[in-house]
Amino acid sequence: MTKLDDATIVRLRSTPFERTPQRLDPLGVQSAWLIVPLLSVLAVGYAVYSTIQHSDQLRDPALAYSAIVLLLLAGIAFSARAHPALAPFGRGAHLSIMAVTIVAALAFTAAVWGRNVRIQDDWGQIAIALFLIAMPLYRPISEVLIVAVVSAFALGVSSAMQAASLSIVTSPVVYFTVSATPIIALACGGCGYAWTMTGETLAWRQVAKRGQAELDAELRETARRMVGQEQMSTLNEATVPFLADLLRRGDVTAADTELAMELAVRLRDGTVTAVDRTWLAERLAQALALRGLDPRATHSARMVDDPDQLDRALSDEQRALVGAIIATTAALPGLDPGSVRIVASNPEHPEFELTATVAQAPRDIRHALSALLSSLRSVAMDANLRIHGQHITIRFAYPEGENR
Amino acid sequence: MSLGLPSHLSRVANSRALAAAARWAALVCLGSAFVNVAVAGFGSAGAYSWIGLLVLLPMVGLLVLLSRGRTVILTVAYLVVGAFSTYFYVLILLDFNPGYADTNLFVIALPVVAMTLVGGAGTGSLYGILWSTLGFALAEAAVVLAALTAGRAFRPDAISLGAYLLFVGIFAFDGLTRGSRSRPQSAIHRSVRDARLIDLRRDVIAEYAADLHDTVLSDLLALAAARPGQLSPKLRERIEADLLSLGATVAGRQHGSAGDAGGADGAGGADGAGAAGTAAEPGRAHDADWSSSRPAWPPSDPAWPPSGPARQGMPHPLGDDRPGDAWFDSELHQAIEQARDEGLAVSVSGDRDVLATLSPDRRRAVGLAVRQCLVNVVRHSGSATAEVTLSSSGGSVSVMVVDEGRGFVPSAAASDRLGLRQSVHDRIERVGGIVTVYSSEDVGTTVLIVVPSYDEEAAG
Repeated sequence: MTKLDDATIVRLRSTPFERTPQRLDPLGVQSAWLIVPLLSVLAVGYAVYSTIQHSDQLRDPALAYSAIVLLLLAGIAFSARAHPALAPFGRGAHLSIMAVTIVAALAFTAAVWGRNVRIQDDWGQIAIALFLIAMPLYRPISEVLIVAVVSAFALGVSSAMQAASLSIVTSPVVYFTVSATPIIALACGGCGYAWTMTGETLAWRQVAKRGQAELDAELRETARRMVGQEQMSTLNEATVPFLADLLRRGDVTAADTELAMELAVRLRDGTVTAVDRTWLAERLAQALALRGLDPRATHSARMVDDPDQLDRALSDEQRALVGAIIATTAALPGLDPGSVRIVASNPEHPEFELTATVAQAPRDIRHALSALLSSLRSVAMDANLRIHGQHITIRFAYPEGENR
Repeated sequence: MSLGLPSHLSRVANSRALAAAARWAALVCLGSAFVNVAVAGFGSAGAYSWIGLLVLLPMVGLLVLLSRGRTVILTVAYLVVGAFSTYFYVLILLDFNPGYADTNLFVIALPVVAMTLVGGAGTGSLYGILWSTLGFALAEAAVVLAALTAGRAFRPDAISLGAYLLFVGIFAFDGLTRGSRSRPQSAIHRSVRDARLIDLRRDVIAEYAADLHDTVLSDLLALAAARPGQLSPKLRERIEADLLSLGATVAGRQHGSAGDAGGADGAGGADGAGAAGTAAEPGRAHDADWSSSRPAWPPSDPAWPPSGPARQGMPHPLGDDRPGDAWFDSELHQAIEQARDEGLAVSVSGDRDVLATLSPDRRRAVGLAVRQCLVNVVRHSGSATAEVTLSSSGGSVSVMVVDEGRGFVPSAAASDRLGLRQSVHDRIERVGGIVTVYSSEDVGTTVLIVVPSYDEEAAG
């Protein structure tokens, strides 16, 4: 096992940036997830209704029913894959779900080919459009627009080719637009939403960054106060009383020299430990301090085992989320503060495991942590929570392969 | 760095994003309608086909104008012009296409959908639904008139109705799901600050470790190497100086940086290191207070140092009387931290130690009043930032809360501004202070809170 080097840190932090609400505003997208199953139900419902309406026009009913099944599968896959528990929703998921949907739409077109009366009441373009309106929440708009153009072209051409057999005699171009327009319009609508939302988020980030910079002086002051108080407490325990007594007496005894050496060693060890302490150890101590656990006790109990300081691989965003997860765990009412441990391992793909004993309903624990774990997954980390009785394990790690 | 929008900004951002979505979709619909009318008029002679091409342009123009900034006048203009455009568009299509027996056609639904989508023009859920309904109704009325004029049957088309219901559904969904992110969002905002605090803390720990190494640790090692007998005058002098210096360093850093924090770099506290005298810098009342309250060194009490239970509760040579506590323990500090948890970037300027000159009840009243002011900024201003400034003069302490968001007319404050009257005005007046509110819709809001300090109370 090699230690974590700078090159690995750079490699791990260099995940491709996608301008999507999923990436930039994961909590917002989580709260909007319900729209995906709702749109899926709408698409499948309309497909069933449309197929019934087309019952006298079906050339191949089995193919038409198969198309509905395919659409249903695509809807289920979309709803499941977009669920916060499985974030992030990647390119592979996007392309495969849309490919199945397009095939389903074309299958329906084939099922009514030559006997179709109107294009506008076919369900293919509507189902694709309903899926595409939600897709920009998860995928970059360029990717969504390419899929929209390809599917609009496929559906549009298939409709134009039916022009001669349709009830209303008009140009094939008109039929092309009848199929293509809903797809392009709703995809563009979704893209407009995502583009504006991500723009607003990026603008807010600039404001937050400026605010953070302005806050630095205040935080530095807080840090000095905290460290000053800790140092005072440490010195006041033994060193200062010893020196004060010595000054009062004016004599040095053999016992004094021994005690002086003992205090010096203790003080030096404490200082070295404090300087070498990892970010994770500091974060945990800070979080547990709110539960009344003395930070020095947290450190001396070695609750964090990260000898290679793998926490250096965490980006600012990941630190914010990991910190929030630690703080939220530390605030769980049923937590035994002394039971918390964090172990870091695997310098090539750092992974961290937080374990603790929590006497609380598993549902409450999941409710408290799921949004943060999902957000962590959206910023390129694997993250999961396991609960066995009162024992919880939160694991977060850099993915071994390419991010989905 | 921050992940995602705070809840109070996401409401406005969501409205803007829905407006953009509506405009993008509406433009596609109008573009498609343009293609349809062009195809319909293709090969036809005369000006009629040209009119067909031009009839949708005013609608497109107004939609583009709406995207640059929504006003009620522009929205109404879009609906009125859109109704006329829709009427002529439908009339031309029906005239050119004898095969179009009725109005239940996708090509006729296109401008109707574009009219319906005006509801998304950045107005919020309820108003969005109302505008959409108005747009839909006007467009359908135009289609009815066009059908009558062309002598065709009017049949409502499922497409525009479906688009209308979809759009209303999205607005309703948006309204229902807003604000469901606030708990984890607050945890993340706090965590961002905590992560930075840890980084700074590590710097300070390293700095303090170096100081400790050069002072107390070095003294202990010298003592460990000393021969039993009388303490050498040189070592005695060093220990005395280091203990004094250490106390002053710790205190001076807290003091120095407390004052500097409102300034540029906040690192000024380090300047106080190593010199006992720097603890009491001129112009800082709290420094003088702290110096005078510190026990004299070396202590004259022969019983010093006490041991065992007798030590508990007694003052220590390095002092337990920590300056800066008035700020850190204050309700004002908590109020600011709470607002920051909600995603408001609050900057603090001025001398925060002026809070120490307020009586506890006044300090509490000021903190709770500022809390309400910041809640108002979050709820009403739409601003991402706010500033809290502290100052003192003439026996009073002033705290100013400033934002650059949407202001209001104080005299015409709505009922939901009751918090301003009860939690700010009344609370401050009860402790003998006064509140002045300056606000205008374009500039933002400034709330100035002035309360008497201890000095004035003593003089009175």
